[in-house]
Amino acid sequence: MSLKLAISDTCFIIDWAYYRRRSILTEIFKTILVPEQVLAEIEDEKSISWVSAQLAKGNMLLFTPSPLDLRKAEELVLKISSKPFLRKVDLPEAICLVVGQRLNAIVLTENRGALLATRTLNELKNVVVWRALEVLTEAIIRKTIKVKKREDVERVFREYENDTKHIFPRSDLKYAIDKVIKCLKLK
Amino acid sequence: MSEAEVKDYEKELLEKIRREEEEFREIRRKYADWNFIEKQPPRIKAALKYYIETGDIRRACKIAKISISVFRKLLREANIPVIV
Repeated sequence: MSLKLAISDTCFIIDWAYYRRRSILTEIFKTILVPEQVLAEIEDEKSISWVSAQLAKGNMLLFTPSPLDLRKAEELVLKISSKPFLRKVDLPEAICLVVGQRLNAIVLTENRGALLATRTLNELKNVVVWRALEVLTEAIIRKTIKVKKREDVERVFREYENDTKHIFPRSDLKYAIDKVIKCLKLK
Repeated sequence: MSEAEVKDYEKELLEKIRREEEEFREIRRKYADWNFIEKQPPRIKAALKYYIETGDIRRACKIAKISISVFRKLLREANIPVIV
């Protein structure tokens, strides 16, 4: 059974669209919300054509944040910018965090500012944030991507890195691989 | 958790973030195609270098005066990895 709801920011989509197995995203999530502010930022052909196709199929849903969402997102941007140890976030990521919290949706992001905000701000501690690393981990554990042995697991993550020119932090990658091996009882 | 434990936890977390930032910066520097970067027009070159140092794609886009998705393509061409 697929997970119910996710909301994606720009940084996630413009990487994920380059992945050879990008279609698995819509097998994992029933609906992926794309805020208007995020859609407006997607300009390269590969990303916009993929997103448009998913919107047409109903796998992605164009989302208009409410005035209250926008106000809360603006407040969040200001709060984060007042903390010198945090990476700044802009309105599109802040909208994803606020709406993700309100709708209990998993926030898909490759934005370090958004990631650090959920790690450090108490009011965002209940927001679930996934990078491609967590999406791939889930896909393998759910057997949306089939693997038989450790090498297959490693290859899945490597393929993503090669396709997107994205590098997973080595310690996080090791944790993800070990988690998959343990869950699937692989050798 | 006592107040002192909370402070220790926060201090540890901030140190972890600082170490990660340094590790990621080194990776971006190592993989970057510096020949490609040096051949770019001034705004693009400055933006790519800013991104290598900070990993902040939004501020880098403002420097380059291009959209985030176009800048992401440019990062691929310059072989600068995104690491989060």
